[in-house]
Amino acid sequence: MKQGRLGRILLWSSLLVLIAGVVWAAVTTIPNSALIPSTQYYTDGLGGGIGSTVMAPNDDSSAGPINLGFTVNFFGTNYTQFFVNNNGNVTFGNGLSAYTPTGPQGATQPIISPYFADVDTRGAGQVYVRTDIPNEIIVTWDQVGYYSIHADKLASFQLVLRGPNYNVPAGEGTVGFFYKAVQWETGDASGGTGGFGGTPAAVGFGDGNSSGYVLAASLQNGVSSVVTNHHIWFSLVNGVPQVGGGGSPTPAPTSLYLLAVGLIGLAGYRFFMMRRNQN
Amino acid sequence: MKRLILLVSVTLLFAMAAFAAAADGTWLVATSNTNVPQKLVLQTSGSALAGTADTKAISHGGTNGNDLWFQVTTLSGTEYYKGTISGSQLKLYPNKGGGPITYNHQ
Repeated sequence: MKQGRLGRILLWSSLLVLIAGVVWAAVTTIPNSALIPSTQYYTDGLGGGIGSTVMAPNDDSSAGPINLGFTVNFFGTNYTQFFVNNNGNVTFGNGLSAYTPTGPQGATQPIISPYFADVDTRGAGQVYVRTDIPNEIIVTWDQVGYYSIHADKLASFQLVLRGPNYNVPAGEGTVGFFYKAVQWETGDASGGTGGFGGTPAAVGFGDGNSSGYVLAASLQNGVSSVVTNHHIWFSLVNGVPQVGGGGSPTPAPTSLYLLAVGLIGLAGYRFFMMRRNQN
Repeated sequence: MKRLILLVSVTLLFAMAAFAAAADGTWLVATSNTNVPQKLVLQTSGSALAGTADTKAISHGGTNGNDLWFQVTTLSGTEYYKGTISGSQLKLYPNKGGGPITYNHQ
């Protein structure tokens, strides 16, 4: 009798943990300490060259679809094209005109955000894409201003995206965020004044649904000073971003959680069957 | 003397009209989109923008040249808008997408 009761408790517990886990597993936070100090773009280490401009000076425009030249698995879906958005991010499937990041993932479509904020290149800066390196795409937001037409503070950052056939050097990864001086973090339409306040920039990844990987400083006041003169490498392991280079991936929190749910469920099932056998 | 006062008054009136910010006044939506504010009543004060979107007060509003922006708080959260004015038309871009939405000045 006691064993049957325990079995039911364990079964219900695993169900509750499962439901709670759906909420808990939505966003994984990347610690700010994962950022590595540096003062250059990735391309500076290659001798320079950030490619060609992909958009005329604008506010909230997108360019694309642009061929990657390789296939990238992003949260379980394969993509061969992507969109470059003026507002510091790239997306898959469609371009994105949103200027204020919403929710921890930033947007409701698959997105990689080195620095998703209200970039306005009508006042300063441009967005560039370099495509001449096999299995590698580099997008640079170079000395870009912020909405509305402000050029008193600028931001310079770069996204590196590599295909599966790229021979990744030790210590690197397949997705890189590189930051030089980032002097602002909020546009006027996002509640900012003088480039700060309101809803600051989002940094990270989102699958467009419930899963995201975001820097701890993402959407927080002070994000600009956290990322300035730093870089970070990620690897897409089965399409899921993980900090650092390849090799043996650390089990994602989601995987550990599912393992725990499975073990609790198995234990409950065992007690339940034992009780049935006794009857 | 009376003529002079009348002339100065008329001149001042025209000058005030000319200096009135482009955003000021009532704007009615020109499309049949019911998911957006149907009527905007806007009032500038320097670079600050106040007013209403339908019955809701706007907040964090501002203008810069032909650009304008504001927020509206609803039960489902904060909605962000930015727009550009060109003559008697305002094109509004909601952050959630679906823009531009055209409004005509009344």
